[in-house]
Amino acid sequence: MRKNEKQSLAHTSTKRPKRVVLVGNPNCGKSALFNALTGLYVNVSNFPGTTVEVTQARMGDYLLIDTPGVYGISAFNDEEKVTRDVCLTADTIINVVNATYLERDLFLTLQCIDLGLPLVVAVNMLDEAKAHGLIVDLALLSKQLGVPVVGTVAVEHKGLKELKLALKRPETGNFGQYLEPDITRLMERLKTRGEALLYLEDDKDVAERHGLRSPGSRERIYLARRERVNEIVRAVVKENTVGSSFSKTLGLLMLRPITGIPMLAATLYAMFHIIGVFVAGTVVGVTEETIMLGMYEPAVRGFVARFFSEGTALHALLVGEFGLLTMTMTYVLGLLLPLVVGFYLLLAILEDSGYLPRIAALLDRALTSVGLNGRAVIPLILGFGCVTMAAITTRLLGTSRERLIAVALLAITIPCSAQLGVIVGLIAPLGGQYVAIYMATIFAVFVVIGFFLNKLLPGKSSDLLIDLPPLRLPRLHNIMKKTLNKSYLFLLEAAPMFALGALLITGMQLTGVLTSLENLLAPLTAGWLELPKEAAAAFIMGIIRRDFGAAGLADMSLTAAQTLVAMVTITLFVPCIAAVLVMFKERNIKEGLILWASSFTVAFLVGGLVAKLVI
Amino acid sequence: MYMSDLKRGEAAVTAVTKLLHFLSDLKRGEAAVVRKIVDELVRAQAIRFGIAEGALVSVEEVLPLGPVIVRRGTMRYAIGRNLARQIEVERPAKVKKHA
Repeated sequence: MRKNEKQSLAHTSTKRPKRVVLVGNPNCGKSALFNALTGLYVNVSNFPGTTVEVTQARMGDYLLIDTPGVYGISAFNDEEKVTRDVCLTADTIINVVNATYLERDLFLTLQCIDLGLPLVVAVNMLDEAKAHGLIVDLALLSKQLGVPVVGTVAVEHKGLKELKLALKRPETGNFGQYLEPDITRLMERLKTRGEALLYLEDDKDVAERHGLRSPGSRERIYLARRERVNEIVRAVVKENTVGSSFSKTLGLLMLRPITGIPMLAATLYAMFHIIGVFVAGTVVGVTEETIMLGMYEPAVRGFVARFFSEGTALHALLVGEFGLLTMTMTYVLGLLLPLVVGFYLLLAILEDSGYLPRIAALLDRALTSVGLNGRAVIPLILGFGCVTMAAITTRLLGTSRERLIAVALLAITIPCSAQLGVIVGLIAPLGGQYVAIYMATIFAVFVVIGFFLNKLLPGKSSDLLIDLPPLRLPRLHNIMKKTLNKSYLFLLEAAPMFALGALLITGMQLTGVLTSLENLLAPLTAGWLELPKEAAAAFIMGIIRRDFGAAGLADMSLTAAQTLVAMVTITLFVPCIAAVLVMFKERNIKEGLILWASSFTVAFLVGGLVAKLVI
Repeated sequence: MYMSDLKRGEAAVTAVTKLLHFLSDLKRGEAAVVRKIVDELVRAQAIRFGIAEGALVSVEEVLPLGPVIVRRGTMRYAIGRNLARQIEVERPAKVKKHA
C-alpha cells in the first residue's frame, strides 16, 4: 500500500523538488531552524483558502516548507488543518522538538510517526536544556522512535550539517502498537496510513472525505500515545538538580500582579517612549521633514514640472497636494515606515522573549470581564501593529463570540502602529493632561463595548489554557529578520492602498466633489466636532486607511483641544479597507458592515462629546 | 421538620464537596494528581500538553481571581480560573518527586 502511494506521488511529480516539511510545537525554534537552513530569500504565502501563512524556500534539491506551530495534527483549528494538509503531501518531515520540553513535543513526534511518513527529528535548543540541567540521550531517543535524531542549536547554526545529512536517509519509525489492529484494517479502505490514522483520531474532515462517521477513538489513542511519550521521556532525559534560576524567578515576578502590573506598565511606557517620542519625533523628523519634504519633494516637483505644467490634472495627480509622488511617498516612506519598523522591532522582542504568554496570564482575569480570555492579548497587542493582521489572528481564540468581540474591539478602539505614531506625535507635545484624557476616553469605549457585547452575545467564552515558554534573551538576527519581513509586507500592502486613496482624493479635488463634500459634512465636522471643515478630507482619506486620515489631520493647524477631539475621532473611526476586507472574510459581510457602521457612529458620537467637554 | 431536613441536606453537600478537590482549590506550592477533566476538547488538548488524567502537577502560582499556574516537569501552563474549577484533582497521600 505504501509503495503504491509513493509511486503515485513520484508519478505526478517527476520534476518537482522533494517536499520537506518542518513541523513542530509553538516555541520549539522551528522558524529559527528554517531561517538557518534557507537564508534570507523565502516565499511567504497564504495557504489556499485560509489566511494561515506558509513559508517556502529552496534548499539544494529540496523545497523546504515551514508550517504554523501546532501541538498536534488534527482539525482543532486552521493552523492544524494547514499543517495536516501540508504534511500529507510531504516527501519527508523534519520534526523539530524543544529539548527542554520533550514531554510536550514528543506527542506531535509520535503522531507524525504514526502518520507513516519518512521522518527526521531535530532536537533543538540543546544549550537551553543543558542550562536547565537536562541531558537528552539522543542515541537512545533515535532507537526508541526508530528515526534519525539530530541535536541542533538553530540560532547558532549548530547541527545543521548533521541534519542535512540525516535528511538523505529519513525513516518511517516505530508505529504505535496502540493503533493495531484497526489501522491495518482501515488502510485497505482509506488507501494511506495517514488518512487511516486521522480518521481513527476523529478528524472530521477526513471522515467526511470518505463518507464515514467518526469512530470516537481519539481519546483512547491520545492516552496511549501520551503514555508512550512519558515512557520515552523517562528513558532518555536525565535531570540534574535544577536550582532556582534568574529567568524562573523573573518569570514568576511577571505573573504576580503586585510585581507583574508595574512591570507591564513600565514595558508599555518604554514602548510608548520609543515609538511615540524617539521614532515619531527624532527619526521621523529626519525621514519626513529633512529627507522627504526638504530634499525629495522639491526635486520630484521640479522634475515633473518639466513635463506637465502646474494646473494640469496630471501635475496635480503626481505632485499636487495629495500627489502620488509627493504626499503618498512622503507618508508611506517618511512617516509610516519608520513607525512600523519601530513597532515590529519591539513586537519581535516581546514575542521572542516569552513575555507575551505571561502578559496573557496576568491579564486573563481582566479580559474575562469583556468576554475574552488572556489569549486575546495577542491579537489586541498585534492590533497596535496592524489591525488587519490582528483581525486574522483572532482565529486563535476559542469561540465565535470571542472572535467577534475581539474583532469589534480591534475595529473600533485599537489604533494601528502607523496611526498611533502620528497620534502620539501630535498628542505628546500637548502635555500629560491631554494624553490622559485621550487614553481614558479610548479605554472607556473599549470597556463599554466589550462589556455590552459580552452581555448581549449568546453562548459562553472559552477558558485560558496556554503553556508558558521559558524566558530567553531574544537573538538579534531573528528579531531583525522578523522586523524586515513584516515591514516589507507592510509596504507591499500599504503603498497601493495609499496610492488608491491619493488618486481618489485628487480626483475629488479636481472635480470639486471634495469642496462640496466638505461643505456637506460641515455640520458634522465644524458644527458637532468643532473642527475646521477641511477635516472632512482627512476623514475621507481615513476610510481608506486610518493612518492616512491621522496624517492628514497632522497637516492642519489645530488648537490643542481640537487636536484631542480629532485624534479621539480618528482613533475610533472606521478601520482601513484592508482590515474591513479581512473582517468580511473572518466574520461575514453583514457583521463586517455592522462593525463598520458602528465605528462611524461611535467615532463621531464620542468625538463630539469630547468636543463639547473640552472646546 | 422541614428546616432540619434542609440543614441535613446542606451538611451532606458540604461533606461531599470536601472530599472532592478542584484545581482551583489548591494553593501555591501544593501538588495533586489530575483526576477528571470535563470538557472533551480541553481534555484532548490537556493530553497533548501532558497534563492528562493521572498526571502529577504542582501549583506554582495562583493569581488573585485569575489563572492557576501549574508545573509538570519542565513545562508550565496557565489555566484560567473557571477551567481550574472544572478540573478534579486528588491530593496524593505522599507527594513523590516527579521523575
